[in-house]
Amino acid sequence: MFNVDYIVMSQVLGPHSIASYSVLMMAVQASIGLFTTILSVDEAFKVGRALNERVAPDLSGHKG
Amino acid sequence: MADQVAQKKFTVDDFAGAISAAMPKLDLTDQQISTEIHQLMSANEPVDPADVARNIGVPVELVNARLDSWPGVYRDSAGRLVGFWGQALSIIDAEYRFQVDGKTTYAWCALDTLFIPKIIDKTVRVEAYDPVTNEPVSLVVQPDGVRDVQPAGAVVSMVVPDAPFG
Repeated sequence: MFNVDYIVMSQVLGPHSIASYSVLMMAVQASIGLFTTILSVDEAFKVGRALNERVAPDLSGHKG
Repeated sequence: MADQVAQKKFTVDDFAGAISAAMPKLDLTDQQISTEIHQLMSANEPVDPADVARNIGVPVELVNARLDSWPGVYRDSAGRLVGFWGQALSIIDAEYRFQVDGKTTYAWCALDTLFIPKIIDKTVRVEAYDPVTNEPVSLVVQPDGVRDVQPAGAVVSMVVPDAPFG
């Protein structure tokens, strides 16, 4: 339905997939030059919180 | 385990900085528009820009002008919003079910499920599938943190943009 032009390719992985997915991500990094990483869920949440503070500093948590 | 895998070359702020740099710069009105859209879309109904405009007290022409200038905005044939910045009414690519107050919408990727709950100030249950094993992964995201991650030890992969979206 959508032709997505906005994407941060971010996936949740179970613990048994980390090794195999890391290999894929290293290939992505090598081929397209974008930095890739795997974070704990809590670390990723911190990225999201920091993103909110940067993008919508005045309204993060605003309840309409 | 994830900490062993993660490359510590970048900090949390570095990641957030790279992603926010790829997004449009938002003034206060833009922030009100985007927040209102996420809040309305979480009810799993197409979002009329006129409702957004009325709720935040600005002309609908202004809302539409901003929406037309931003990437990642998807409308139906009536001009209503059906996808916006990490959230949509239907599945896009990977399936990230985003459940708020009994209503289900769909996030575009894992990171979206982690930052939108703070924007809408709601607790969200997220259900997804591991892209390797296809096993279900679920978590509850609150505005101030994450709990009930299943399976324990689940992690989040990220590809960090180096250019603006769109």
